Amino acid sequence: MSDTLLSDELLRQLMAMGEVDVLVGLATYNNAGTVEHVVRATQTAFAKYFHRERTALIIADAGSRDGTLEAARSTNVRDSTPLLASHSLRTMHQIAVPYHGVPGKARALRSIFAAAELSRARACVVVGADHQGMTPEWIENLVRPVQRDSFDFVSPVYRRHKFEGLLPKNVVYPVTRAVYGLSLREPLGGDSAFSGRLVTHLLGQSLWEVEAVRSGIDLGITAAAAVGGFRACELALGRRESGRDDRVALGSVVEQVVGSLFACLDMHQQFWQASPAATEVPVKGTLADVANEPVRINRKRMFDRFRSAVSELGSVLEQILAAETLAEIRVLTAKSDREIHFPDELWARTVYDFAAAYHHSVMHRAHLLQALTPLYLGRAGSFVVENLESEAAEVDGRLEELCLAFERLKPYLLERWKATDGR
Amino acid sequence: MGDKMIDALGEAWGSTLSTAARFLPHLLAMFIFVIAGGLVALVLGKTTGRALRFVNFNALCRRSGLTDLLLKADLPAPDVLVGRLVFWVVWIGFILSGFSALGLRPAEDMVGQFFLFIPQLLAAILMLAVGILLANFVSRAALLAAFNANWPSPRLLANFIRFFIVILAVTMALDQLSLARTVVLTAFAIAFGAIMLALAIAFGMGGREVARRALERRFPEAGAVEKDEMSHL
Repeated sequence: MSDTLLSDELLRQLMAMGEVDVLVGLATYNNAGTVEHVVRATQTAFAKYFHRERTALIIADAGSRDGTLEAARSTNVRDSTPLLASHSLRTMHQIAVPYHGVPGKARALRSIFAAAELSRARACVVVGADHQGMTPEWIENLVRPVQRDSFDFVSPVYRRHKFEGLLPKNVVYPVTRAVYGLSLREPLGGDSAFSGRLVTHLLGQSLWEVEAVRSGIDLGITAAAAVGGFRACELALGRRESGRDDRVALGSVVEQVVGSLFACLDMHQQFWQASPAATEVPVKGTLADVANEPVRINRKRMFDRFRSAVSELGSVLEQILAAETLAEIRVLTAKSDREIHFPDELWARTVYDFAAAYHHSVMHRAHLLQALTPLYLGRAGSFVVENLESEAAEVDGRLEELCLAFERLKPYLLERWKATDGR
Repeated sequence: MGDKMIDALGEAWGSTLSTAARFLPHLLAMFIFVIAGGLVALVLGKTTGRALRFVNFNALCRRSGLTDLLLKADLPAPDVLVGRLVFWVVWIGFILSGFSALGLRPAEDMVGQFFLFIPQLLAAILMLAVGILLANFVSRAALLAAFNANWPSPRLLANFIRFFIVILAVTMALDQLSLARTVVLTAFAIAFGAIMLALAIAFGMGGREVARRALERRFPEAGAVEKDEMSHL
């Protein structure tokens, strides 16, 4: 497989490099402003924590035009000598190559995994190239659970504001936990580590071929690891500066993330319909409390979109939602902004109705996901109102209740999933 | 004189009898065609309906919006409708074949025309069905896109698009059937032109404020819209 994924140039470099113990991959695209910092942190980690091991850094670039590759190539750990405790005993490799084919993270990750497999890496780490606050310790902390504790998958937990990541909190985390039985707080991944065994397994999966899964490949990888029964753990990584692109419209974000989630459910239906046992996921490191400082959020705008969607998109929602679910949502829209409370069970049924409708293709799938966006805004607005004054523990408690509601209603998902006409 | 009259009457009677004797088998054949055709059409119609129910045709039509349209027109469910269509097309075919069995030139011409008409009828039905599917798909896409872009009156826009595409499909179907071709095409051209003109005038004159507000919302000045300090991802 590797020979079709990797360019001749990269293959030659990998062959010359031979086997490695730790391989770090960066998927870059116009990250000239941050890639230097990430490369430097990685090289420092190699020199500081893995100086007895064979290491490699691979940058899979999607055709950046802002000098990302040049910045990455020119970065050398010797420029930051004062940070080093010792020098590497083995050769430290750095390979920068633009990856070819369809630009996107899936292609980049696949190339990195193929390189890891070819070089028989025992641990493969993937970190974002858009980090502003990554430290060498992140690399060390990601690698150690794989090397020392034989975990196959290390998933990150970041210190987030209570109103940050509302889409994963309200949709992706509860669904993956209820359906796959794997409780990972950041199923959309980010900075993760993989064992060589898992890398080989992932390369053989069909997730790379499904367009909807490719658009949210991190989630696809998490789901594949759950289905494969690999040992997973969470790693408290602290605050992640920068990160995702806020300029992308919410509709597109929902379409990609939730579309990827539903496509995964479709792909793994045999697995989750067999009701897999919930897997205990240990946490490495100390989880920091969620940040709680006041933030500016226009709740009125969110609720206005929600109300207007229920009245304007009624004909579309009728095809997706069960009659009782839609009736209860309609009742909500009659309430004032202060009174709107989107109950956990109603939200779980709403998401499951959408998942089943996606499975049955009751309409064009992009249309279906677009119709979810304003309903999600209603739920997100309700979450914000309920947790406005809440402390970290209360927010965690509410999220736990939401997850339990999704777990309780899994039979409802099964029922809707198996309905012959999709209604 | 009397003998001649009797002979004439006898000849006429004989001729009538021989004509009737020649015609009767044709008439019988026609009745057999009509009755047997009715039975065959009935079986085919029922079988078609059942086959469509088996492949869940009604659910497909409901998703495409065809069922809603049929309900509004007070027509039966799609599987029943197609079954009935098959019944009538087959039976009319048999009836006309029966007329053809009479050996009458006008009837034979009519049968020929009917069988030539069937492909046109099927093409027209196909055009209409595709038109309705397209109308529903495009109008739903427009509704969701306009709504998520925060455009004013997205449902009105979507309904207009659906109406326009359905009218276009109906016009094309009627044109295919060569039914009142001139009237239909002229009416369509006038109606389409009138709608476009009305829209242009309405938007240009009456909707200036709406257009201004829509454009302002679409292209806000820097800093005009407060950005939320939260991240969905």
